[in-house]
This record gives sequence, structure tokens and C-alpha cells, in this order.
Amino acid sequence: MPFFFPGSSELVITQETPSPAVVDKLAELSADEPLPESYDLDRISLLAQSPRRIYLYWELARDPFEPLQRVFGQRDGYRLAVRLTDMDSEATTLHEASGTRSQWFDVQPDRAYMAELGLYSPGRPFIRLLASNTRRTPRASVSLHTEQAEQWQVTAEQFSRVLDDAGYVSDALEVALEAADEATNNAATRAITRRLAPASLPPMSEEELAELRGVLTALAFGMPWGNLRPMLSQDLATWFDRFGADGAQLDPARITEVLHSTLGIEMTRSPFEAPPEAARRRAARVIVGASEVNLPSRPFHLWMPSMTERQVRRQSAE
Amino acid sequence: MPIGYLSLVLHAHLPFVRHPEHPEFLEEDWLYEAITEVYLPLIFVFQNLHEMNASPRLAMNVSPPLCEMLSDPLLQERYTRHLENLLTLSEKEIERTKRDAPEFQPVARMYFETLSAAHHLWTTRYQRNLVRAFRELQEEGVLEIMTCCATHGFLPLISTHEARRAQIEVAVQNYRKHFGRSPRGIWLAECAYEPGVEDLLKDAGIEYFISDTHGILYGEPRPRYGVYAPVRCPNGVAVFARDLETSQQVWSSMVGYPGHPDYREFYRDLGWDAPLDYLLPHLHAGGERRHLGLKYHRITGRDVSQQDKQPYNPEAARHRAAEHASDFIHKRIEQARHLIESFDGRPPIVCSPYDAELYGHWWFEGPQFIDFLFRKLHWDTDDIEAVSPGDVLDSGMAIQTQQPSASSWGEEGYYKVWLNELNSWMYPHQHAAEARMTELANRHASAEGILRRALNQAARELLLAQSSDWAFQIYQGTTVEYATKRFRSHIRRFDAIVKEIEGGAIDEGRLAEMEWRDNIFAEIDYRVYRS
Repeated sequence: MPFFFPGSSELVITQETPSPAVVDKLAELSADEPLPESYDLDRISLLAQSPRRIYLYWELARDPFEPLQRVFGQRDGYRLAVRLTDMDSEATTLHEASGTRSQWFDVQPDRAYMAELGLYSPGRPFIRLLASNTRRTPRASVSLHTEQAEQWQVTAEQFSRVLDDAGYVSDALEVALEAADEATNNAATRAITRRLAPASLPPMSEEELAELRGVLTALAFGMPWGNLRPMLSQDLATWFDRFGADGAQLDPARITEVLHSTLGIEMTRSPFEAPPEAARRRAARVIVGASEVNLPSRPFHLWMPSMTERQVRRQSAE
Repeated sequence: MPIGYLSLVLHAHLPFVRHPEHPEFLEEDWLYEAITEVYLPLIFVFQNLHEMNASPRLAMNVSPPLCEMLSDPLLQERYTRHLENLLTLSEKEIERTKRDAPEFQPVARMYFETLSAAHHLWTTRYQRNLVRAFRELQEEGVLEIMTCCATHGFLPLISTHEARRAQIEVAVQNYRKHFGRSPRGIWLAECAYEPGVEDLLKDAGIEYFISDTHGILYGEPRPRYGVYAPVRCPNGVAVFARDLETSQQVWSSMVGYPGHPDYREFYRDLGWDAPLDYLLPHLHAGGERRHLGLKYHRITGRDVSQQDKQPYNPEAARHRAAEHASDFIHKRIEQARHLIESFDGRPPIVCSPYDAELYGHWWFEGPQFIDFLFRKLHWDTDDIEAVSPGDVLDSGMAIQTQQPSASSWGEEGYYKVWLNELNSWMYPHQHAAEARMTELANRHASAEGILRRALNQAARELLLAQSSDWAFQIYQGTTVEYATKRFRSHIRRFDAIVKEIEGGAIDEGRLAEMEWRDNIFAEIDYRVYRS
């Protein structure tokens, strides 16, 4: 994607002197006019843009309301709608269909989605017209699984260092918290959260605890609460709301200080210096000329001493 | 025994910019400037290193559209004209600077010398065919040449299995034509991967591909050695992922080497600085100013305005490139020492992929940096060894099996650059063409004569429409009009051919002209689209 530099035929019109031997039979196909609006097809297609965004477009060869008009003489309150299904949980959401025949949806990472275009009227069954392909969104974080074979086993603490060495520092911090939880029978993350929040945490499953580690990491890297909240599961969002997430206690500096004092995690450069939006994963978009390749911000080196249960217990007791 | 391995991977690609319908065309200059500034200097460096027994070793992707352009007689002829024109100008420049601007004399002489050398390489040594040069370097063991998606199609946004497969199969076929063997590795356009792509690669006999860092880091299960060892997909195809530290050292405009004040400034160019009447004989017929590649200033400093840039000093820049090569190696040794400790003695493999065009075009001294890098790796250290991905696979080292994660190397790491509010309008057209191409290929199991030609041309037009370059340029806001026009033209041509095929009346004159214009992949067989 590299080479496009200033100077283009869009800026400068070159003199066109077609060879006399060539009759330009392609003129009408080269005209710079928009392409056909439709191909007289019934089709629908779902594409993933990123872990949290998918794109749907569709086309109907015929007016979908025509059969309704014919049977009932009117549209009978029906509107064109998109029903989006999370195939993993089977949860569905209904959206009014856009007049542009295409639509973006905010979704979750590493989930399979399917969209249906149909007619909807409140209190009546959804009439499906088209069903899309199923599309899985990309992962946005590390896997929770490690290899069973001894040769490839990696502890959370080792993997945290692997991520840090690779420049994926927010992921490294998240896995460092996981390592601390492993070493303390899941006490570490809870201990940190207790230091930050006056309210006590409810019992949590492994998945919810993993989510909490992700939240703490994102906050430590400066992600604004407003951007983070819509991504959270309902229970966790409610809990954070209860103790006032907008308060100063979730300030990145405070979280970094608690990570340091509770678990001994040091960072050679404070993570909250990273641009907040990008801090969830990697920071800077670096441009050399026209080329643009995704790069992290200057690596923060996490340094995490071996954590012991005793250390965390001592910190938690304070 | 080295403590670490460096696998440098250069990705050389330009979209198919060939416009026989115009006597000269600005976008063709992309190719000509890349030949002068990137491909010839790199070939020269590699050949020299080889001849002095410095054992350079790296992987390089020369994309199929680039191979096709480099071996196209019309473009070869036009480049010869371009180079000779530039050489004439550089000769004039020696006189002009001697008279009017002696501070720029050394730079003018440098251009004259390098362009003369380029002319010799182009006309005599390689007889206008750089694919031959790359092929020789592969046969000499310098390069491991990888293929790429046929027209740099962005696989996760291609709608059908058959159309994705065609991007791979056509590329492999084209590679065989140019390099006389099958490719071992592939550069997936934009490193765009989603699970399942590896099956197409395996079917095409490809052993490995390059992914972005999180392709492996976010893979399942967790990678024991991160990106510092390859993994194998469950079907056996290997994956090497990008090391960010080396990316940053070279790419970053903030902390990367190319931003050093001693290096040549890209944006000050004689094409914009010299009086128009002086330049006229060297411009296109319209007489519009453009970049000519003769640049006389150095970066000087980050906040220095273009007017205050200082004269370029080739000697100082060369020393800086040597110093940066040393620094790069020193940092690799430090990195390897650090990693080998946490890897229980297993030497890390650092995979460093870059756009080839960074070296020489954007970073003028890039080829010199590579030259120094391999000399120093060979003569000054035993700690780091240069390898290709294929060498790593041949070593017999144990490799972890993992399902990599969907990813690309573009902004934010996924597909946003190629699918967003500015370019999403392209996909309904592209996808309709993909589906129709397979319908046609299924319907015409063994077409002959003009029908076969029409089906083959439909396949070419579809492939050209799929180039990820168009969506990229539209998103970037550079050359939007050209990119839009190219995409639309290929779709319209595709639609027109299909209509004629379906109507049973093919306009042979029009078909012939399409074949003449979009002559990529002479060997194509439309049946690659059959389901």
C-alpha cells in the first residue's frame, strides 16, 4: 500500500493523443459515471470491519411491500427491518432498515453474527425476506487457552512477558493480572478493585473476572469510561455505575498507583501518557510518507516481580 | 551458533498501472520512479553483496502485477525513455549547479552517477527485464521470492470461496511463469488474514504466510514464543508474524531512522523548485510540474520549513546509514539476548516485514542501509544470522500448532482501511461480479475461441477490480479520482463482457481492445473460478 505520492492524473490532465490505429471502443465503459444502483438480485451480505463493527448490505429485486399491498391493500403497519442474531448466544436485536440498503452495526469481538432482512410490525411475527451469511468478528484480545502439550505450555506470567516483549503492552498488563489471580486463587484482581471502589464485589465467574481484568487494564491505559461502558456485560456495568465510575477513583494514575502498591507492577513509562482512544490495544498510527502501518506507541516496559499469594494477601489486608 | 535470527521480508507491489491508450500517464510514473529509486538500487545492492560473498539472505515478495509490469515490453520501452530523459536532465544539472549553485554540485554529480549506473544495469546487465534480475537473485540463494494475492486482493473482503481461491491460484500460476518454480510463501495482501485462508494456501502448495503481530499473539491457544517463532495452522501451513520493534525502528516517522536530519528530504524536488521553462523538455507533454526524483536537500530538522532545508550531503548521509545499520544490529543482539533467556535457550526469530518501496523511495538511503546491514551481519557479528522463512522451516525446528486470529497490518489491525464509510460502496459491485464469474465458469465448462477469450478477459477485469489499492487510496484521500475511475472501469468492462457472453454476441473489436489495455495474466484460465 505504499507508493501513492503527490502527482496524479487527478491533479494534472495529460494530453491525450490516442494512437490512430486504435479505435477507442471502450470510451463508454471508461466514462467516470456511477455504477448501476442494483443488479436485479435478491441478496444480502454481512462483512466484518473490526472486532466491534460489521457491515451489512442488501438488494431486493422486487418491492417487498408489493405482496402486502396486494393482499391487504396497504402496508398494514409493516416496515423494513434488520434482525441481527448473535449466533453464539442466540440473542437478537431488531433495527429499522436503512434507506441506503446498507447498515453498520456495533457488535462484540469473536462472536458469530447473522442478519435477516424482513418486514416487521409491532406485535406480529417478523416476515423474513433475506438471510445473510454468518460472519465471525475477529478476536480483540488474547486467547484464554494454553497448550496442553508440555513443550508449548506457557504460564500466564511467561505469556505476559511474551506480550510485553512483542509490544502489546495493554494485553501484557491484562495477562499479568491473570497471573496474579492464578497465584492468589483469584484474590489479586478483587484486591485491586477493592482498593479502587468502596462497594464490595459480588461473586464472579472466571469469565466475569477476566472481563474485570480487561476493564482495569483499559482504564489504566486511559480509555474513557464513556467509551468502555457500552462494551461491558450488564452486571459489571451496573456494578461500576453503583460506585460512581465517573469519579476520580478510576483515574489512570490512581489505577497505576494501586497496581504498583498492590502487585508491584512497575512501568518505565506511565501508560496514561498513551493516547487514550488507542490505548486499549496499540497506540500510535505512524505515517511515513503515504505508507501507513499500524504501530504501537513506544513500548512501555512492564516489570512484574514474581507475585506470591502472601504478598497479595498482605496488600489486600491493608 | 547465533543467539537470534533475522528474517527480513520486503513486500514489493504496485497496482497494475499500464495505460497504452495514452502516450504518457502520470500513474505509470509510480512504476518508473520505483524502478529507479527502489528496484534497481536493491538489485544492485543484493548482487554486489552476493558477488563479495557476504551471504545476504532475505525473503521478498514481487507481486504478480509488478512482475507483469516489469516484463511488459511497452512499459519497458517507456521506462527506458523515462530513464534517459532523467539522465539527460541530471547531466544538465551538473552544469547548472556548477554555474549557479555550487553547494548542490556533489548532489548533482551523485544523481548523474547513479542514473548512469542504473541505465547500464537496465539496458545492458538485465536488458530491461528486472524479473530476470529477481529470478537470478533467487537462484543464487540471495532472495526467497514469495508470491502475493494475484492483484493484491484483500481476501477477507472477497465474497466467494472461488474468487478467493482464484486470487491464490492465479498468483501461483503467474509465479511459475516468471520464476520457473512454485512459490514457498505468500504475502497476503495487507497481511489480511481470517481463519480458513490457510486451506486455500495449502491447496495451492504454499508453505507459509506472513501475518501481523496479533495474528499469532491473539491466536488459539496462546503462543509459547510469541511472534519470535513461527506457528503452524492446524492444516500445517506456517505463519510468521511481524516484530513491532524492528517495524518501529524503520517505519516510525517519530523515532525511526528515516527521519534523521542527515537524510534526503522527500518533499523538496527539482520538479517544483526549478523554473518551468528549464524543466519543460523533461515534463509530460502537458507541461505540468511533477516530482522528478532529483532532490537536493536534507531533512535538516523536524520543525524546519521547506524553504530552510539545507543542502544534502551524500557522504554524511551514507555514514549515517552505516551507523543506523550498526545500531539496528546492536538492538537485535540485545533483543535476542533478552528473549533467549526467557525462551530456555531457544534462539528467537525476528520477522521484519516492510514495504520494499520504503527503501529508496521514501527513505532514499534505505538500500544503503540494507547494504551495510548485510555486510555487518556477515563480517562483524556471529550473534545474529539472516534467514528466510523457508530456511526456518527447513531447519526442522519444532513448531507449535495454533489457529491464528483474524487480522491485517493496516490501521487498527483489522479491515477498517479497506471497508469504511468512504469505500463500502465498492463491495456490492465487486461481490456481484465475483458471483457472476463463477456462474459463467460453471456454465461454460470448456469454452473455445472468442468465448474463451471473453471469459478470460472477464476474469482479468474482475481481478483488476479487486486490487485492494483502490479502496486504500479512496480511504487515504490520495488519488481518489483515479482509484474510483479504475474500479468503476473494470466493473463496467466486466459487466459489458458478461452481457455479451449471455447475449451470445461478443463484439470482437471491443474485446480485443480490452485485451490490449488490460493485458495482465496472458496465461489466465477462467476455469479457475469453477466451483
